[in-house]
Amino acid sequence: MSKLNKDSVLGTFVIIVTFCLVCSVLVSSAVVALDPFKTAAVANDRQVNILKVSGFEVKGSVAKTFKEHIESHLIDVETGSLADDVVPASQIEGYNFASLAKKPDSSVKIPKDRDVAGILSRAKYMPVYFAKDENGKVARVILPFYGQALWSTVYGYVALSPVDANTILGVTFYSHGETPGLGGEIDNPRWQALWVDKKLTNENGEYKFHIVKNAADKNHEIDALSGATLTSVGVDKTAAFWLGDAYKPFLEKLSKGEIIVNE
Amino acid sequence: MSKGPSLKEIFLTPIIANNPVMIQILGICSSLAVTSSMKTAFVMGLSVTAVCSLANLAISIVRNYIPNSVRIIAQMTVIASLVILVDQILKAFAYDLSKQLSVYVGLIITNCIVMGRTEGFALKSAPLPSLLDGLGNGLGYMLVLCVVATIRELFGAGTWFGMTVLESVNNGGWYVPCGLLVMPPCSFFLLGLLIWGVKSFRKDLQEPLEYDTHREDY
Amino acid sequence: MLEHYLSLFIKSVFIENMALAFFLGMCTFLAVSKKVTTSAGLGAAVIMVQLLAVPVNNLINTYILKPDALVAGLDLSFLSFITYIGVIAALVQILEIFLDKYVPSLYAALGIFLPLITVNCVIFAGVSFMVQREYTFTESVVYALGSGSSWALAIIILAAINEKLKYANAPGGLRGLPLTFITAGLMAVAFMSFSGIQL
Repeated sequence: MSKLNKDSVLGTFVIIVTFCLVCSVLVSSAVVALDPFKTAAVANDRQVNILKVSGFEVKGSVAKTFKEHIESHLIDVETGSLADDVVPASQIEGYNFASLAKKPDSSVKIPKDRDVAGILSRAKYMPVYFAKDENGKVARVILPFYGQALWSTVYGYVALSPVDANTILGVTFYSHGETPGLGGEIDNPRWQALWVDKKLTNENGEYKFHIVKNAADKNHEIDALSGATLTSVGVDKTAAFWLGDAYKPFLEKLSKGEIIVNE
Repeated sequence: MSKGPSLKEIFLTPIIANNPVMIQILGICSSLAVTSSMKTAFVMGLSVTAVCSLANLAISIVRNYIPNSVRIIAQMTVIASLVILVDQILKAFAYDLSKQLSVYVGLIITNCIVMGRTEGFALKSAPLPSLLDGLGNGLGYMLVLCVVATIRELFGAGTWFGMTVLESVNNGGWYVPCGLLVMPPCSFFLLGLLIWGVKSFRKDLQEPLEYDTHREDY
Repeated sequence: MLEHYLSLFIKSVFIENMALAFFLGMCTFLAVSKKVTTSAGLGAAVIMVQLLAVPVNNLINTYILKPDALVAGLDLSFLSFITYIGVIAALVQILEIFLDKYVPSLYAALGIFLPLITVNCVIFAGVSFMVQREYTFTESVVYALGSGSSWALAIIILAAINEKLKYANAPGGLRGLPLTFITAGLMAVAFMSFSGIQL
């Protein structure tokens, strides 16, 4: 080794290859060792957010509480029926609808006049979560929704009552890049509390839930965020697309009792 | 042979006197971007310190074996591997923060501080001084980041590290947060003012006027 | 379809300006923005490298690094950082050699700046964003053009302003870098006015 001139072609080659091998071994072993932690972290993050709108407090570990109370299902958005057999059971909870919405064979394009949320295409199947209480009765149905706001795509979960599939019981936003203090106030629990007990549609089945300045209709409208008009409009349109259009078949089936059988 | 700087000097100088961000003007990109909250700034500072010190240490240990023609690439390989490690650790144990930091963790690879110190110091020095130099520069960078982040988060949102210090109006308090501070352009202003302050004390670093309108002998 | 690409281009040039909204490429941005001619040359170089680096890395990501891309069950995405920086360094080197042989005037004009682009955050960040947002190949070409142009636009504007500021009688501590920072900050605020544009 002492005779090997480090600046010669052979020397350079040998040294660089050794370098690469050492670095590769280091990096690869770290990645493999950390893999279970990473998957757990991703799952934990998702479960924490779903539990936020489930109405159940985290007791002990997140994973345990989630397992006790939340049942994950996949639905065919077009028909509104359960479609749990499309993917293996272990893949339903973390179904990556945002990524699959961009792949042609697992997504469907949204016609321009209906694409108010600005997402261009949506996944054919979406995960839904049933929050069950200690007796196994479904207390809330949790639906993911996402769409364009001002600076970013806003991702959230909304919880609806399984009885009428019309009353909002909670909302949370788990990913967005809106202006902190302005559009970022969609994270403020006091604003999220405004969503509770609002109804999506009126007696005639017309979609009426809106986020407006100076909300008038106490049953259907909530106040927009002051100083964050465009973010509020974005969230409003996102809710309108998913809750008033995309999930409509599912919600209709839910209200008729075709999805859940509660004893 | 003249006595070089002592180990203590090597470690302490970059923290304030030769601060990488304010004096050497390196590593600006991330100083501006991740300082909107203390949590992100602190974690970013820790990551850069870790990468800088370990990269310095590693390069210094193998400095006699690196061929001249591939010097830069060899340094980059080491730095990139360390950054991948840091990124994986963050994804595994601080998932929330890693989402907020997004691409800026990867950008540590192109962070001028790390490359600048490995090229400028570690290649020529023994392992222990290099490690201390890396630590010092990283901590100096972290100091600036935390100062800017404290100002931005405290006055821009009323919190520090997520804990409420000044109760904002939206949460039922009295403080109307200064929204400009949390917006991206503000970090430009803050850093400019900070460097102005530093240069007012260190007059030797001030730039001379190019056209002195007061001179009469042109 | 064209609308989507046009909208992506406009978004990446004005609303998500690499220098003014994401603070990328700051070191060269601040150091080189003294003269409009040098800045224009550097901006052009960045656009060129970006146009090469982002689509190439997109292909590498799609066909080699992504989970199940090369062989089913193999996820090489942890190698992303080192692959991208290696590809960028190689591309810059190749571009340098190519320009030296075929367009020597441009090569001479760019001088030292071409190799410096390797460590320019703009390129690496452009690639990272492209991967994070899972752009298709065409989208990544449009995005590359847009993000490169955004940085070039910002540096040329800053150089033009700096050329005028040369004649200003700024206080000692404010001269040079601090003033450039504050100017850049004001430019960033101005560019924020583009948000909300929807095509």
